[in-house]
Amino acid sequence: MDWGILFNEWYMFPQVLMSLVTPSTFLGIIIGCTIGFIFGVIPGLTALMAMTLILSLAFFLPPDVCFGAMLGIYTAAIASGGFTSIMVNIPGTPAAAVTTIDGHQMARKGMTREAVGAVIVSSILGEVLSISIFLITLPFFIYVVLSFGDWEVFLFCCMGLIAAGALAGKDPLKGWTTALMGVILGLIGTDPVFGFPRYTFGISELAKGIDLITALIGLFGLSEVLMVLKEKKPYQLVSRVSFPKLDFRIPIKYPRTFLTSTLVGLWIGFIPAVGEGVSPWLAYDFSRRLSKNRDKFGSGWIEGVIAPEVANNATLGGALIPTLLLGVPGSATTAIILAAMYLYNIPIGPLLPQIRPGTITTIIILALISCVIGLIILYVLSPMTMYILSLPREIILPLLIPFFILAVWGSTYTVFDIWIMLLFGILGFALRLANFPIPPIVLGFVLSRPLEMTLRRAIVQYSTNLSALFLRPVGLIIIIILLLMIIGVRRFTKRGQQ
Amino acid sequence: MIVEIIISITMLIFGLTFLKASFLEFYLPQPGIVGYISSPHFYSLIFSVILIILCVILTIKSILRTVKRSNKISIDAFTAKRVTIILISTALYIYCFDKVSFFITTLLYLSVLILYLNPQLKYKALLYAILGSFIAAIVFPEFFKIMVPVR
Repeated sequence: MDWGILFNEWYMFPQVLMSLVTPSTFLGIIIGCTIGFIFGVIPGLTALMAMTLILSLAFFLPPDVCFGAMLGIYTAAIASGGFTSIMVNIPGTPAAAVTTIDGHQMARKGMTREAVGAVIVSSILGEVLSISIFLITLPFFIYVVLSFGDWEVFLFCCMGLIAAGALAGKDPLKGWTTALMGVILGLIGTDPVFGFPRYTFGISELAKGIDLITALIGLFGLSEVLMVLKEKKPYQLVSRVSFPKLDFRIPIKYPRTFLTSTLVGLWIGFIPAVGEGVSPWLAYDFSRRLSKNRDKFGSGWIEGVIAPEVANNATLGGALIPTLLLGVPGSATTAIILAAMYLYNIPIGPLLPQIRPGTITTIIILALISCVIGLIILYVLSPMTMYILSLPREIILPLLIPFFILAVWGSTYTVFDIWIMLLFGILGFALRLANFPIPPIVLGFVLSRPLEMTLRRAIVQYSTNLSALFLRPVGLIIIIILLLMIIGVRRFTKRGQQ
Repeated sequence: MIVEIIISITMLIFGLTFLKASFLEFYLPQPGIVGYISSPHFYSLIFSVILIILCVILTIKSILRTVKRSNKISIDAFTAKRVTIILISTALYIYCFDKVSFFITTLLYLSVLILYLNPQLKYKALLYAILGSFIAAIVFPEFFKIMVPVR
């Protein structure tokens, strides 16, 4: 093995950093953070929705600007979702649902500035720590994935589907069903090996398959708009915030909560397609158990705000590991980043560090820069939270639909794909109504081709002795580890939700 | 919930349709087991079968759950009407936008939708619609060099 490959990304760090210090990259991140802040604050608008919109512009933006904007959106939206949880008692994003428990109580006690400040500091520092851990452990993960063959990648994809199905929703059966549906939808089109058309039902436009952007905009964009318009809930404003009180000593004051939540975020992020919706619940539960002040949790205690906010942003570091090194998205948001990488023809998978050295470092540096810029944007814009919340959703949401249509049109230039987007929107809405989780269907859709290709290649490779596939040591380890993870996480998720 | 049963049955039909298509379109590039395994429909066939099995279990579970909860419906008439109107107007918008001017169709679509969702806005709705259409049809395509069918 060429050991230099393992450390290539480290060596390239200064070089990549210098190449990213450009006005366009910074502008992309600033715009991304601002959009993310607005989408995070307004309940119903999510980071996913905003990232999907940016994804449609990938054709028209340089990669660094596009990835910078996406990571900016992620950082700001996930953090600012907590503002709404504190001030209105409605989570701005699903990832901020746990923050309502203690955050809103703090606001009622007149500690809004402290709570919002804790959200900003915890989110940003949690993300910085998780990204730094990813950077430090990168050579180890590159070493591990380089020992992966087609069979191991297939197993990882399979176990990812199983884990996502089991953890993304309350009912594993629903998760697995949607994941499988995603896999089958992803198989529509021309067979990649023999060029044979599959499941086109006589419609020639389906021969090219269903476009990923089209499916994502329908499932995450349009269906969310329909879901929010489903009912009109008036906000009950409790408090307003001037500039928040930032306390950067949070990691020193509450080291146990901070570290535990970061590790939980990393761990959950690593499990495919589970993401920031689950990690805050687990982090809250763990932190409460480990805290000396466990009785204060739930009554407006600051650790109850720190734990979920650290975990939801720290999920990014863990989610980037399978996304960049295996092409298996760790969360729904990283699935969007993965889709953008496909659009830029970046060869995702175990060979990425060899074929395109510096790509992983680019994403890591952009995430770190977006944390710094996100901190400033969140601080500066936080007094505007009330104003943004006062904008009626009945005006904002219809305005988004022409942009979704334009985004699909801009990526494929066919009306057929816009109809497909509408169908996916209806499908997403119907699934949400019946409490089916959406991330597994996206994961299934993204993984359908890698699943098929890796299995077909592995079978051809071992066609003389298929049983040898099951004796490959790394494959066996993956099966055991992921099975243990599923059992463990399922148990803790249940407990956390209770 | 009724919706849950409907979705489960729809997914079951979806699985059955794909299973049928797998058999109809079956193509063997090579003879024997290797040909069978490497055929373009082998994997989709397996996935369809698993999906059907899961959907059957899900449908039974949903029916049992609904019986227990005395047929609770999760979508009310207000929502159903609202969503139907939005979907129909969006379908009309998609149908017209490449035939008539993109700006005019967007303006009409947004005006109708904003007014429907917020009837008390009246003239303000038109202002929001003009602003939204201007950004969507003029600024956005110009800035990102997206070719709009008929401006």
